[in-house]
Amino acid sequence: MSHVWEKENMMDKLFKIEFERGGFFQGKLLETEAPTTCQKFWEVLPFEGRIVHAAFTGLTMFFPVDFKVGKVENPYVCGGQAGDFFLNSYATPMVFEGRIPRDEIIIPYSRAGLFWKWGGWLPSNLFGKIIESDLEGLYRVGRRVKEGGSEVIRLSKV
Amino acid sequence: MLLRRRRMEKRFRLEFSKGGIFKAQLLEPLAPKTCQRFIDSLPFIGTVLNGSFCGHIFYGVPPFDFSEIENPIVFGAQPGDIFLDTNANRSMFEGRIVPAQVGIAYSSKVILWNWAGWLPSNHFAKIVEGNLDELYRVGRRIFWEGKEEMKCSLL
Repeated sequence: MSHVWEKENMMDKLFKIEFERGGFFQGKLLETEAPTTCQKFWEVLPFEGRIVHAAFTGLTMFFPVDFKVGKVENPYVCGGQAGDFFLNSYATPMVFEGRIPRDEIIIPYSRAGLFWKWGGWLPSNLFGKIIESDLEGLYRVGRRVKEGGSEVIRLSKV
Repeated sequence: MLLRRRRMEKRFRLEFSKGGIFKAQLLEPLAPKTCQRFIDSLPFIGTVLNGSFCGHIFYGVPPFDFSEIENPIVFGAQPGDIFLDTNANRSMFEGRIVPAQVGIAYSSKVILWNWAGWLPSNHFAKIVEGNLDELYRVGRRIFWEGKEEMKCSLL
């Protein structure tokens, strides 16, 4: 497991990530690659959600959000790295179990992730990444959410 | 004839620590070796967790290992189907080869695979008594609340 020691640019927009049962990280937005997603995300900060471990997408956590991006930009279905922040905007409109799903933020804690569900691929916008943080700590959070169940995640501007 | 066959069927009970009791039937003609290994290990209590890759299925590690593939499935699981994933591709996790795992599908939204490839899994039993809606609720509870204990015992 590697550490990220990437130095932030003074112009980067930074945000804080805090987990209810422990774990504090700092992320930066990738505005050049995903400007609309970053703008929507930035506008709604601070907010919190209930994060849970994925059942389909591998070693990732996710939580639904109340804002809608409605656009695919800088999309991935594989190749995500630990600490990346993705926004799944449900590019193909789907109804699951009678409901239209909300957009979701997906956070891989390992490279073993593939964004799909039984209805198809979920091309997800890479719009942020954790910086200057211990990714082993993020891995421990991921395994804790897997075994201990969902918990609250809080996001705010730095 | 049918009655006699039913009397020969071996069944086992599944009980979840946070609620939910089901009865399952072994599929001995389809997966005889897997069934025998499973029967020999009963009773046992194991921890179950929702799958990370496979969808609506939860898994536990039984007190035995088994590496043969018989009656394998990767697609087409139905709620209540019970599998033994023998880790055919010998995938490793956190530095160790993943052990054989018993998986129980709680909906049909299941594909048996992980980061290392397909996981052809031995379909050796299925739930025959108990409400499958309740099984779904058990599955979603494990997904949201995390691990719990499952007790398996021969009837």
